[in-house]
Amino acid sequence: MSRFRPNSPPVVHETVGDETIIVNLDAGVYYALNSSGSRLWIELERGVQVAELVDDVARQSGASADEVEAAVRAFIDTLVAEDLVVEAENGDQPGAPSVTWPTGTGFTAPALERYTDMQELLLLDPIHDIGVGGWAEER
Amino acid sequence: MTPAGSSTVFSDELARAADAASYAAGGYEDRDYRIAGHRIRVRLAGPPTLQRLLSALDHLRVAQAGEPELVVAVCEIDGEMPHGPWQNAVLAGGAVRGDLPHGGFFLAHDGALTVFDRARAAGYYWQERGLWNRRHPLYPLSPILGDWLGARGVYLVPAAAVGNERGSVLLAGAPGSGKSHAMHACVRGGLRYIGDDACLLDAGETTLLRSVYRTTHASRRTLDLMQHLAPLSAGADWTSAGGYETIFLDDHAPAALMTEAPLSAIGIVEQFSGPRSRVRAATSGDALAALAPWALRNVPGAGQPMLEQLARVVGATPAVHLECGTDPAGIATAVEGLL
Repeated sequence: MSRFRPNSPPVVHETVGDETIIVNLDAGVYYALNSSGSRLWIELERGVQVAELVDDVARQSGASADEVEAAVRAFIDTLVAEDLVVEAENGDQPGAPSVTWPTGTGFTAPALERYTDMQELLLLDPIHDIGVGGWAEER
Repeated sequence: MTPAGSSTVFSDELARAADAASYAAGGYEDRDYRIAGHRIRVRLAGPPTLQRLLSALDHLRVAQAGEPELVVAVCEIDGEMPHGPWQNAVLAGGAVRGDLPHGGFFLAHDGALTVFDRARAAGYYWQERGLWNRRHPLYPLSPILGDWLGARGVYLVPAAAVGNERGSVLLAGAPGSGKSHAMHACVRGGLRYIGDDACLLDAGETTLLRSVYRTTHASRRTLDLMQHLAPLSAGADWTSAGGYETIFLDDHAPAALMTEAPLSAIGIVEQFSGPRSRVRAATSGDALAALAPWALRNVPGAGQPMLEQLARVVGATPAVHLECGTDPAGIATAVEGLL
């Protein structure tokens, strides 16, 4: 487990305030990340190595590296299981940690809230996306 | 017309097919609309069924003058739809959607076909003869408007909007959350409506909510709680699959409709079992989650750029959870307090 990136497309995401909204447009499922999850998401999107990320969060928050690593790994496992992130390719530029974490208050575990109401509607009224393979090249 | 043909040739053929449909119908009837400040022409080739589909836009109709920025041909057709790549898909049901390689999309759904050629700013809507699409009575223009206006910073969002001379409130939430109910309660309480099913969020220097459709909807619960609405129903033809009655509210109360107002606040509509309504603070994330996924779903090809723009607007706008009680007057009071 080294680096990850958002699985875009079909995943779109945006951070407002200290929350992040993620939408999987194919699955019709959307998610809200809490403050901790948003910070981690921003770092993952920047291509920060997971080991480097864990060290940085532990250093800033004052929490133990073991605690942070367990939470970050569980969080990433969930993101992977939901198809929200994929492993970054070698060609992707790695980034350095840049997010400021609250100091001296410990580490709040990242949380991902999952909303399926849109998916339920999609199942009732599905939209099938088809590729452009049927088209010839432009002349 | 071959699926494997060049897409620009395909667009030419669609235009010819639309012209042929108009010839069969006795020619086009051109109608101009000013939507979010843009002149849009609908070229109507077909009988009253199609004209009825456009009645939701009557309030935005303008006299013809000059060249339109966007032209949409709305046609009925006997026999086969224009052929295209959608016919390659094997479907269990629902819609087929895909991109045109040179920009634009197609969407085949319930006996109707929408194609938008972005480069030519030309849209087409085909419908099988005699079809009355109860599930999507506003279907001819929504996907095309969503795409074309979105490229101009105006976003078609599936939300209701009400306001007055001070500003407007966007009523957001999932389908069935009670947006239409809250809108009707607000109008009954003296506010005006900008839209019900959908409105336009114009993300310019000053964010505006703008009207697109004048239709409103009312569930059985709304009709029970606001009985003055029942006689205003447009009738069974307009009743949605979900049981919502359609009401052309401005036909009965012209002053109830306003076409635009600056955005003051976002209300995330929620049902509350008690009689009283209440407002509690919401985060920008709450508001974005209530608005953006549904807006993205409704616009073919919408993605990260639209989400970023919606987030920018949401981040600069106060947001609340609007817990709507059973007393309609309380809903209106709560919303008016946001203006």
